[in-house]
Amino acid sequence: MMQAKDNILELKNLCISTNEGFYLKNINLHVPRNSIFTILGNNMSGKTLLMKSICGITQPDSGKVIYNSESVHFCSETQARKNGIYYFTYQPQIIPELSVIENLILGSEKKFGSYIFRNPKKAVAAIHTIMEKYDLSFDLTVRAGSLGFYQQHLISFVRALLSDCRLLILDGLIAYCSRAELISLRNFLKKITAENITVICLAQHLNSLTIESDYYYSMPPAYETTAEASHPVSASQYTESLIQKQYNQNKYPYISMNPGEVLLSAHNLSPSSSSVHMFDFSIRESEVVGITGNSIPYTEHIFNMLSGNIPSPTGKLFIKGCPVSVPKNYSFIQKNISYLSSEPSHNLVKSLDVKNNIFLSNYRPVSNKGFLSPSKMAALSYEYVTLLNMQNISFHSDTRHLSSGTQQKIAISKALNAGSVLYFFNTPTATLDTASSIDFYNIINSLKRHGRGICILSYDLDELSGVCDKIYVFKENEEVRELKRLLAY
Amino acid sequence: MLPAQRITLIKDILLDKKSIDTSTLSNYLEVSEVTIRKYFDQLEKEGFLKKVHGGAVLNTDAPLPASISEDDSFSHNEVSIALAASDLIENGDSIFIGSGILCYALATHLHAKKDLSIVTTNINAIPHLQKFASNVYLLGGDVRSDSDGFLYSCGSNCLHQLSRIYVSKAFFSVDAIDIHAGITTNELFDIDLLKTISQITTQPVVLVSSSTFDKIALHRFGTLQSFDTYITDTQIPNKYKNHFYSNNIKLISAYNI
Repeated sequence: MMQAKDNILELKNLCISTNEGFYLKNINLHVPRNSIFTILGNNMSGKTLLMKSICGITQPDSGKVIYNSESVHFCSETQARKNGIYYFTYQPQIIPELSVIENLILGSEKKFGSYIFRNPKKAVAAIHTIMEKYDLSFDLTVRAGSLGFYQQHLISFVRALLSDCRLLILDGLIAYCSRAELISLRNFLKKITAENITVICLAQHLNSLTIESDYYYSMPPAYETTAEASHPVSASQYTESLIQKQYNQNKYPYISMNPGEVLLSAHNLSPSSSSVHMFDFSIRESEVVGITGNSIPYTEHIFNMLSGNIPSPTGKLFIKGCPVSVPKNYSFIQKNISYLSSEPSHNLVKSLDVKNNIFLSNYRPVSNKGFLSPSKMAALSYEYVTLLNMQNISFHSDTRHLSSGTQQKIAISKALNAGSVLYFFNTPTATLDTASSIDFYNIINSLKRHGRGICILSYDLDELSGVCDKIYVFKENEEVRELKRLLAY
Repeated sequence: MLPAQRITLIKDILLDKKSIDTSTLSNYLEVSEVTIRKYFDQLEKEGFLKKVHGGAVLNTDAPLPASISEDDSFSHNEVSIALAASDLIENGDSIFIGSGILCYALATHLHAKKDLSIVTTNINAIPHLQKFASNVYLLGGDVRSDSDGFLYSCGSNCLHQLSRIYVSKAFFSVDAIDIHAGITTNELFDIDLLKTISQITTQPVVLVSSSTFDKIALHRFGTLQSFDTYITDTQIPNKYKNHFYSNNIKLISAYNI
């Protein structure tokens, strides 16, 4: 278990209240040194308030903050900074008018000479060491305001690193990062924790960055007091508990149904020829299976193996009990298995209009003695459009002019037209807005009702735990974990 | 649109105008006159209209309200909602079914379930329920008829009986849903009914069609968050999807593929 010496930060019975009447009572937690520690909580659960009271921006009412084994009380943020605690919000802490290098030296002038006679060479050398260590590259002479949002944040991190920070607190930045930025940030944070620095992230749910955390802490429900110390939970335990609890999942329209026969099963598949971990996989009728993992290329590779795009070095795939050879992809198509990627350009021919796209998969419903019947095509595509609630459709224009949500729905119509029994969706809601995502989840329910099997690859654990019946988690060099949904609805 | 939708439209027009000719209908619905005549044949068999030269007239011999005919032609949306609601019901459940056409549609789609105990105020649903469910209880009280012609029981006696039972799931409709006004009802009685329903079950499920959205009635029950599950069809405005998602309310839009 955790020794007291190994915690950089401990909170004992911390009580904080605000003028608006919000309060946190008896918060107990400890943050192990050199780890990525994620604090999860809904909006308005008090995460920011908690962090602000640690770094001196607000003052707690009572309780102890123990930093580096000493009980501390910071009266201001500057004092906290002097002790190595840096707090970052979603606004990058830089001055846009100054150049990058001026921003970086700001505050640590004394280190690199005096305030008046600055020694730029020393500063540049120190900056270059850091940039090499963490694999970053900036043009030091440009105006800081000209850089992108994420780059500006990196500069403020580097500035903190120059001043010997020991504890980095990231509040709110994570919600504004794109997926690529999250991955880059994740690698950066991993490197930081290897250099004797601890990182605390505040987030609302698990994503590609927070899934890499070493420890998690859930904010207690608002206004509830808890006297017992809560031990930070390790990553795998948290993932499991997230699935088991109906934590915040009511917003997903999940309906439980009785699964039928096995549609696709895999035995002794292994991710690569060097991996020792083999796994079994099965998906049944009326079942939604989720695939996720910490590394995007690794997880996608596995997903492509399961959907028949890439062969596996070992093991066999069975469709309804019959073995199938891969990567003869058309055998999958013959067996009515559809694959949809998150990029609509991979699913549709954008220069064709709606009805031609839908019937690309199967011309039988609209053919009349070997000829295509335009009236049947028009009528049937109208039916799909109303069925899937696509709005503002112009039948005559190319599909490239439609919104991504509508394009996805057309891709789904195409798969429905083929009469697919098994669907593989590769990050289907990545490009969809909330309303279209909810439409998508409801469409999945309808597919379930008709006995189809659905396999979804997604890095949004929130979404997966709200929609799937079971989830497979793939982490490199670890056993595959299969998480089942608790049926107590 | 689907044939069933066209037939419902023809029925509405006839109820309104009492007679219609084939050519007007075929222009309006954008189908051929042959198709219209086929629909007329079907409706004449049902006893709804009488074919005359050039069109049809409403059959005044047996005036049934359009929605209550033996042939239960529900619209596509109503069937989808009923199917989605029946997905939530398991064998052996005890459920409450409220009044209105959607609850009636649900009652007609329960034949696959076994061992259900059903408490209801929906009088029209009784013949269907009695065929399929093991135990059916009709709550007694004043008999009223709603705007679609469906009969239901209500009144303080009804509420009193309702408050003395407990069910695992309750399915009911409301009159109007609005993002700001919340759930509002036309009758004052419905406020007490909704309150009682939320006390007698752990899983209240609201069945509403998309035409109920963006409407405000006189009596206010509470915010949309008063219930955590709604089943509706696919045509609701997007702002409600966002609102429900951020307020952790389950929104099931019934697609029927």
